[in-house]
Amino acid sequence: MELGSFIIKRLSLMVLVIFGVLIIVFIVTRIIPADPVGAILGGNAPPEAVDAMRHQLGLDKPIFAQLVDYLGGIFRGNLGNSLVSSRPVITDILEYLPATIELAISSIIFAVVLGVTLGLLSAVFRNRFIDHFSRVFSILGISLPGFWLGLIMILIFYYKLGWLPSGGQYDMFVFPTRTTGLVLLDAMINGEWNVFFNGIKHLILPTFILGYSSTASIARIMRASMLDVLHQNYIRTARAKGLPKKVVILRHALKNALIPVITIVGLEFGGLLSGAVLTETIFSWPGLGRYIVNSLLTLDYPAISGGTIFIALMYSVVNLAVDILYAAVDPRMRA
Amino acid sequence: MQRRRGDLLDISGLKVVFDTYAGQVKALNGVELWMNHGERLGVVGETGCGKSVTALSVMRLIDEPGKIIEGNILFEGKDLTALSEGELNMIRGKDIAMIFQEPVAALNPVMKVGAQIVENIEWQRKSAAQERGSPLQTVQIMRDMLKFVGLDWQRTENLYPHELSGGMAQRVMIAMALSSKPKLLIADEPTSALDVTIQAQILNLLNSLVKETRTAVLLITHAMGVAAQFCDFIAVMYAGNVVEYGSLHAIFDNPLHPYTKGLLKAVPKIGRTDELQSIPGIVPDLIDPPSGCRFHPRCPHRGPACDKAQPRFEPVGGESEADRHHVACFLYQKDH
Amino acid sequence: MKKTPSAAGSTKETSLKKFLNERKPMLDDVKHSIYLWKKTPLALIGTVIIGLFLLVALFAPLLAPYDPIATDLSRKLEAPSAAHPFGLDQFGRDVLSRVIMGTRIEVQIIFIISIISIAIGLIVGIVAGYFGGIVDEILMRITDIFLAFPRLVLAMAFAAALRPTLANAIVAISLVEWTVYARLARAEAIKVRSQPYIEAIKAIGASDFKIMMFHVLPMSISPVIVQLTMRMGTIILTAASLGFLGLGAQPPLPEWGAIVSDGRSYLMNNWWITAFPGMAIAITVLGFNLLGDGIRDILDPRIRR
Ligand SMILES: Nc1ncnc2c1ncn2[C@@H]1O[C@H](COP(=O)(O)OP(=O)(O)OP(=O)(O)O)[C@@H](O)[C@H]1O
Ligand SMILES: [Mg+2]
Repeated sequence: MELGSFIIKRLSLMVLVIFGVLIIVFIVTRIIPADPVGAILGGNAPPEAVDAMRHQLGLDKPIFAQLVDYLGGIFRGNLGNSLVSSRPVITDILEYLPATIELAISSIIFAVVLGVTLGLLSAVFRNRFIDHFSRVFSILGISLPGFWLGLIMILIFYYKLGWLPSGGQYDMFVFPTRTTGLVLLDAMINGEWNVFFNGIKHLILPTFILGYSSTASIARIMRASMLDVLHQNYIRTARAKGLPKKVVILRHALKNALIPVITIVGLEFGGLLSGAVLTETIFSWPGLGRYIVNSLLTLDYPAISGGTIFIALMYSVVNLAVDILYAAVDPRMRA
Repeated sequence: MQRRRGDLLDISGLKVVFDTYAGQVKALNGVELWMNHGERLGVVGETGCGKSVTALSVMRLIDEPGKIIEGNILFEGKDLTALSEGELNMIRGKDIAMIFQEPVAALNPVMKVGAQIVENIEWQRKSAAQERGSPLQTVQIMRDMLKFVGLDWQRTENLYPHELSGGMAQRVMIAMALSSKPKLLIADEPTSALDVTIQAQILNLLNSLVKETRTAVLLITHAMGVAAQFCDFIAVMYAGNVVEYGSLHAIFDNPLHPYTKGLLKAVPKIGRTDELQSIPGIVPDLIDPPSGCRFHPRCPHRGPACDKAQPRFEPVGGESEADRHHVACFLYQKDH
Repeated sequence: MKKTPSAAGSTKETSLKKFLNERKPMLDDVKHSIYLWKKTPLALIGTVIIGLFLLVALFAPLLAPYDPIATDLSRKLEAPSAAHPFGLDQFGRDVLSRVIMGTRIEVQIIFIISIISIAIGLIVGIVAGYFGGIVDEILMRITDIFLAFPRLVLAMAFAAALRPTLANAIVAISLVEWTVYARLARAEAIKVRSQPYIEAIKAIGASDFKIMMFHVLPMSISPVIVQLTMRMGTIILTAASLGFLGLGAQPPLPEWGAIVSDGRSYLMNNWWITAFPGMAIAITVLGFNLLGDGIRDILDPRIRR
């Protein structure tokens, strides 16, 4: 019951925020740029061409009318046409989205599994070797620039050792059948195991680079939260029952310690989408992040606006899911 | 080793320290305490005197940065200070159970209370290598226990701790503790965090339950009155020592230690449950405790020897054995 | 704290006293803090790194052995040697000199972003928290909207829309960073607003503006500064990322992220162009993070005991 009304409240808030997101994107792509047409056509385009372009983009209308057009287009699912590919932006996005989803999912799984494990061991074996190791690993994770570490990894594992590919989702001579767009999933569905293993090989470095800083944040939060939980009275109760340490930790401490971690995972997803922009650029990963970078560099405004809206939408949906999960896990939240 | 004084529990010379950044806290300084099966022993003393540390030592739940540096804790003749974690886990919860001051915080917030009781029952069977017992049986025991402590199991078993009142939560804790039929129940200020009316209810409940199950109780409390109502024997602690120990009758009718006398002056009538009044002076800093008898700076009968050496904990002559009256004070030392 | 504007008169004094009183445990504990500081070697290392970083920035022109932008195509891509410990880049520029001169750019980035984002954050947060109600509601929803974007993505969009330059990258990052401080300042403002002495001051006739300036603002500053030290590493990373993507500092400016990007095409054979500036970013960010962790730990009452 209470969970239901919580979800409704949270959803309506999200609708409001998404509306604000659209406005900000409108401001960024239509109002801030001093001379979008000049940027597209170059400084010395003939005035007729400039006027034609302004008309094509709707820039000759008053701002408010432009805003109405823009919002109307979005609600009809029309994000305009890319100035570079001339295709509808939505088509482009749907083509690039699966690669980003695939990378984001594998990175978040990597980060959660490794981060929670490291944080847990760190707290339980406080001030022992594993704790020192995990803390150094974590502080490096939030300090090393991912784009640089990625390049260094390519230098080592591709150029020097030749163990892993330098980029892309799969090798050139591999021809996956496209069903869902998620390469690994498609390969499994279609039983193309060569594609599957080739895909895995391509996924290793990008997953590590993208997931590393989240791993680090999760490990740090998990450690702090676990240390906190281990000092709680109910842990003493569990120990007074004579439960072995392992049971105390796994059954009584773990679930309580994970509660704050859930929130951080939601926030980390934002970092992950930011990181995807860089990771995809370095590893030539055909995803939404690279699409946005390219459209920013070419000032492809419809593409910028579409891509940014999509990213913000994904982030909001994940955070919504996390908030709901949080309420579902912690009985105190439901009261 | 000295002779066993109590057939259930016999603590002798127990010293516990905590290493903190400010220095070493000498929390227990040679605690002496014993009890037989089925007895009820009250431990009283001002805040910070080491009551909880004593209780946790018996459970061997003293954690970093604390450690037991000296002394023995004999439980039915086994020295608990010498046991491994694995061996201790066969005793914790099963032979010795414990309930705490803040019952709501003592329950796992994300686990239903019924499940927490069931967990205890199941674990104690497993560690005793008893037959597993069907899950249904275990649940039945849990429900019986909830009924036993006066709760409606249908309403209670599926609640989370934050949905319970303090009194209900303490009943749940008692149900959990007694579900394994322990020989000793340690209750660390089980009622201090509760409303006054609830305090009496819980104490009466505890009283009737332990009588019925013949469980020995080590009750820790601030309130002399509570101890008087509930216990057969009393141990008075001051700054890490048991300064006086004996039967209810001995302590109340013939208090010897100046500290005990001070405490009792603050409680004119047996049966009053108000908190102890403070005695002039302050509780000493246990990082740098007073030399000799730790009470000497506050003691009205301070003599020249009091700051030189620690008085021995000795039986008081001329009283019946059954009173077990012991005191640690130079006023009563024979060679003094 | 030394300057005491006389204009505000006696109300000012009481609030100052109150302010100092509330901070007193902190001041009393300075010794303890220093003790903890020394006991936390990592925080000490962080302090040393940041100290060195600032010194290098201060004396960069003296320390840099060569001109960071003078090209010499005849010696392009030379490997590290005694004369050029970090090697030469594709235009024959000394990478070490570029990295050293880059410290000045990074300091500039941190400094300006801190000021702008804290100013916006404090204004939004204090106004929202102090007035509450509908004002709070509106300002906080706006904050939520900014938080609905992954930070880097929004900063990239601002930077591109404004035209990619170092100055615009700084503005873009500030436009993303302020939300952190707005939330903190709001929490402090709400705390201060509910203090009984604020009612009294109001009754005397102090204006809202004065109360916000002299009572709420001083209280908000210290949590904001603490938070800032913890965000500095992230600020550098974001700026470097923009530079790397070509949406920040433009050539030939020796911004570290931009230098890493320069080296990318030469990674296989000329790794030094990429490796050294990246290391400089890593070490500086590490320094800030260690420092931030240290400050957080030292202020954490649970660790303080
Ligand atoms: N974890 C710890 N670290 C440092 N010192 C501790 C710790 N636990 C207990 N002590 C010290 O041991 C002494 C005895 O504490 P204890 O909790 O046993 O007192 P108590 O008699 O139970 O008091 P209360 O009536 O307040 O519960 C105190 O001086 C306390 O400061
Ligand atoms: Mg206690």
